[in-house]
Amino acid sequence: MNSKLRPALKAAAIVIVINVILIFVIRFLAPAAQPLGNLLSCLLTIAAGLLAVKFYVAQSSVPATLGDGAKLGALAGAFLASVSLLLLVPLLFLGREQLYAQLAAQLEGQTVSSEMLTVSIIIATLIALLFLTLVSTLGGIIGVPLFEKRDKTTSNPPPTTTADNFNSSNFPPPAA
Amino acid sequence: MKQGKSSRTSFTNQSARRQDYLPSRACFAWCATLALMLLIVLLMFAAPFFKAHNHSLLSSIIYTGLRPVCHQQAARSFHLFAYPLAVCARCTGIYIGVLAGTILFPCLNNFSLARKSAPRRIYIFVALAPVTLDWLLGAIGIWANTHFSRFMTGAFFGAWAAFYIVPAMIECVARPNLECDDATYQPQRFSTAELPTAKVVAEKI
Repeated sequence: MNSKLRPALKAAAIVIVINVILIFVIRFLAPAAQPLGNLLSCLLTIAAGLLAVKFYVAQSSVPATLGDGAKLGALAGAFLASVSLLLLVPLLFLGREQLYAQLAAQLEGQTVSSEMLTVSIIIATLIALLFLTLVSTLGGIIGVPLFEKRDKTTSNPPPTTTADNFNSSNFPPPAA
Repeated sequence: MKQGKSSRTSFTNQSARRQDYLPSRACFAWCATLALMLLIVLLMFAAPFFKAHNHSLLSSIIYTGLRPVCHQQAARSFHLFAYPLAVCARCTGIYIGVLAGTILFPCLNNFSLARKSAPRRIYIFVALAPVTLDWLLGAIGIWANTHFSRFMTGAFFGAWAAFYIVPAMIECVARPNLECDDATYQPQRFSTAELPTAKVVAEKI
């Protein structure tokens, strides 16, 4: 798993930096481009999975499989989601009143207590984080056939079972 | 115990055998993928349904939750009960395409989930071409794309993506099938009695 952590972290870090720049540009320079920002955010999430696979393929001695791609994408997405959550929580608290007003406007006059609104925001955030992870996983899966050009059938993966590790043919013959 | 094969040969055998998976585990992986895709599609349709039936809080949770993965422009989305779906027409196509592809996967794979198979690299570009062209031609003003074109190109891409997603999920969840169906394959077994004891190793050193 450690061999997958590093490329996933690296990919997530790159995407987070680009995403933060994008958020600030859209929020302060072009607020009208918010839908485009959402789309780019989605594409960047896919890119996190793709980049994670790209980095993994570059460092790994064995060819990556689709399962590896899914795991790398999910890891990158999970990192992305965790950092987004960490960045989002202070923003939610700072702009709480504004957010409540927005949600109340969406509810079209339906009266809801502030506790219910808080719970709604938490559930919506969790759904968003889940989707970020899923989309990044898709990116990771697509990344394997895109970046893995090595032949899977000719490689010899390392032993995975105890029987392989302790195969008696691995030991030298007894001295005469 | 068979000792004829070298350890390298045994690795190669195992590598080849990793293409097969226990059918029950593979079936579980397929069912899990199907359930997840079904949940996503239901969520997509639930947002306008809840909104139309005066459950605005529930619908706003879904709309807000799906905001990071789609632009959600009402003009580019299908409507249900006069309210837009939680994602745009292209994303609707992608999710429904993945669901359809997941359902079709065993049918187009000789009704088997045990063998992992994924399309070749070239098909990525074949699947991405329509959706890219549809977006690009619309963006540069050569052709005005419609809800139908966005949905269909998205669905084509989604259905193709399922043929990578399902094998990936099977590989993650299912274990390799060690119950051999290949007559030439002999699983290597060992007993601790055959291993050199610490004393023997120490003597050799």
